[in-house]
Amino acid sequence: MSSTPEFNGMTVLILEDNVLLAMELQELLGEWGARVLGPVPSVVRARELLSRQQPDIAVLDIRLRDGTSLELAAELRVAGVRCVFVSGYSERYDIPESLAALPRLTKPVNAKALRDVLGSLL
Amino acid sequence: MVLLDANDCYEWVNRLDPTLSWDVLAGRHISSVLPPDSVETVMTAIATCRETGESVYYEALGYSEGEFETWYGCRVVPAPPDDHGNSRVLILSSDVTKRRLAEKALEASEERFRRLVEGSPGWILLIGRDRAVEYVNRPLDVEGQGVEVLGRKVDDFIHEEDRTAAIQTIETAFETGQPGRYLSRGSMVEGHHRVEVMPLSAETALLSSVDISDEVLAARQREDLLAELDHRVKNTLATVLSLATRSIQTASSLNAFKETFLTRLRGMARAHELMASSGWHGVQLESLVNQVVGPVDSSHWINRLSEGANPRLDPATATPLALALAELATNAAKHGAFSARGGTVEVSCKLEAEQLVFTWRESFERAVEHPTGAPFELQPGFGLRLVRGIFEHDLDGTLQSEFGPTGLTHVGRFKLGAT
Repeated sequence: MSSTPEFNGMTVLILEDNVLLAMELQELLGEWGARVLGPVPSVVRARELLSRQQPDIAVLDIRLRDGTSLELAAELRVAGVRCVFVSGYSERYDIPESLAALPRLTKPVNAKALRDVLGSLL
Repeated sequence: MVLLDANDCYEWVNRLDPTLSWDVLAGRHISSVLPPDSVETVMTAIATCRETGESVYYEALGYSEGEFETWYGCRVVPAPPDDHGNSRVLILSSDVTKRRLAEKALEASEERFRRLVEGSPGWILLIGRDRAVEYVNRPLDVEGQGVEVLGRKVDDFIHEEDRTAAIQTIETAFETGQPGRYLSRGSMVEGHHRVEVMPLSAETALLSSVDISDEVLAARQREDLLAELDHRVKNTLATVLSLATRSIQTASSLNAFKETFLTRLRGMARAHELMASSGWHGVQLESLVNQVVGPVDSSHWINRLSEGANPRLDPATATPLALALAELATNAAKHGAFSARGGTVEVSCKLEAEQLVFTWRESFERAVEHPTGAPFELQPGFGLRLVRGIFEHDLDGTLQSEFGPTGLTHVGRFKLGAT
């Protein structure tokens, strides 16, 4: 595909608490040339990783075992990290206005949709 | 009518009670025929009349026996003196028993009503057309301080966010004369209230509020529970979907797919059954291993879990662990000790510091024949990557794996209750 985004050299954080979905995302991003940070299952683990290195992009599941990733997303945005939310189809959250414009994918994540969204962020 | 002489004795009556005869009554002092409770009232009235020359009205008990009583309303008026110039009084009486009893009943009913209102656990208010409080059934204390309620608008006692809707309800009730209802969090009183608005007239409405905090809490818990259930079901479906996709991708035949996929699914199903039967309180590690690994091969494994720690695992730990166990068993059936290679699997665990150390050790009867002596799955396939992912990701722990020609060992470590 000529429109295939080039993710070589990009670092992508994966925050996803379902191990299988995390593995899928990890493999997809790896195939597209990205360097994956994580995957991590919780906000706490994400913060540990982020204290050492900063990604270009963050793929964030909203609901995690230790809360939501909304606050983290706001901080990442301030730090210049481009964020994509991934969440269950009918799950509703009070997404703050400042984050309302962020792209959001529903599970199960469609590979093409993910690639398009990531491409649009570059 | 009774005429009393100067000494308050009977001189004349216009009518006699059938039980009395004039012979008995004539010349007797009036106090001697009165019930004791009435004497003071009657004698005071007579004395006042004599002193002032004015008529005096009184009501007194005429007769009582048990529940039965009669009351008289009497007017004492000065009468013309007798032939010797002695003063006399006339008492004009009428039976007021009915009225007195009705009043008494009303008083009792008012008292009952007052107790009912004041003893009510909710708030009962009367408000005027301007929504100012005219009556409240008990004093309002906020943090031990009495707060004046009377005269203030009821608006002040309604939570800011509920106020507009509440006022709307009250106004509509006044305008239509129809009862209404609003929900409010108290702005001074803790909790959630349901308030019934009953217009009593164009100028007054009755507000009666019931604390529904428990209901609100229960509803919220129900919602949380449903959201949690929804999340878990979705997570499970996502897992099953992903497992199916993987199993299809890696299977060499339909039978191979069936075997792999069903083992994985059964592992999850058994873990769920165990959890459900425990009322979601948790499951012993040993039962979990028995349930998941047992059906794959019941004769080639040694369960040493009962010898060491056999901790209770919460659902968040047991569910992923069951999937990992199913993977390990599937792998053993395909390539390891449960396969044609022969051997045994020994499962054990111990507690180290606050960590659970879980060991899965396979010994092969026939060593892996590989030109370089390299073990199978040197490049671990999906199954073993999943096991690693479960220990590292789901259980927030670690997994050490060693592969050799005569066996393999996985040592998983994770904190109990960390997930």
